[in-house]
Amino acid sequence: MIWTGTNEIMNLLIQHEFYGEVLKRESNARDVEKDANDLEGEEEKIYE
Amino acid sequence: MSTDSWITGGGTGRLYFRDTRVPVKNLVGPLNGGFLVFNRMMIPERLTTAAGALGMARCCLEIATRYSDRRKAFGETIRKFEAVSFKVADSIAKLDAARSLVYVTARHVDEGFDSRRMVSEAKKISTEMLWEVVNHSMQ
Repeated sequence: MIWTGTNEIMNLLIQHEFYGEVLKRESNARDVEKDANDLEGEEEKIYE
Repeated sequence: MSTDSWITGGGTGRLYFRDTRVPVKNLVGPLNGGFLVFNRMMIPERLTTAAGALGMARCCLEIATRYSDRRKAFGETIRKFEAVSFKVADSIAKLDAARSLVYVTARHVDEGFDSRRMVSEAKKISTEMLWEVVNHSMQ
C-alpha cells in the first residue's frame, strides 16, 4: 500500500482525472437544470 | 402475441399457446428446437442489456459530475468535498470495470465461444453498476 498509494489516494486520482476529462468537453446532453422552477434563484444553489 | 406496454420497441412480448399438447415428459429440450433458439437468442438479449446500461450510467454520471462543479456549499463547489468527489470516483471506476467486462464478453461472443456464463456476468455486473451509479448521481 505504501508503494502504490491507498485506495483513498486512488479515489483522489480517479476523480481528478475524470473531472478533467468531462469538463474539458462541451456537453451535448440536455441541461436538466433548466427544468428547475427557480432556475436563477441563488438561494437554492448556494448553501453557506 | 401482445407487446408489453412498458417496453414498447424492445421486442419483447407475451406468447399465448392454444390447443397445445406438450408432454413427452414436458419437453423443453429439442423436438423442434425452440429451447436452443431461446438459449441462443438470450446472448444478444443479455449483452445488449449490459451494453445499454453502460451508456445510461455514463450519461447520468456526466450530468452529476458537471452539476457538482457548479453547485456550491460553504463557499466551495461541492466537488471539493470527498463525500461527493469520491462517489464520482467510485462510480466511474465501476463503470469502467463493467465496460471492460462487456467488451471482453462481446469479443468472446464474436469469436464463437460458448459465452453463456460471461454474458450472464456482464448483464448482472453492468445493470447492478447502473443502479449504483444512478443512485450516486441522484445524491
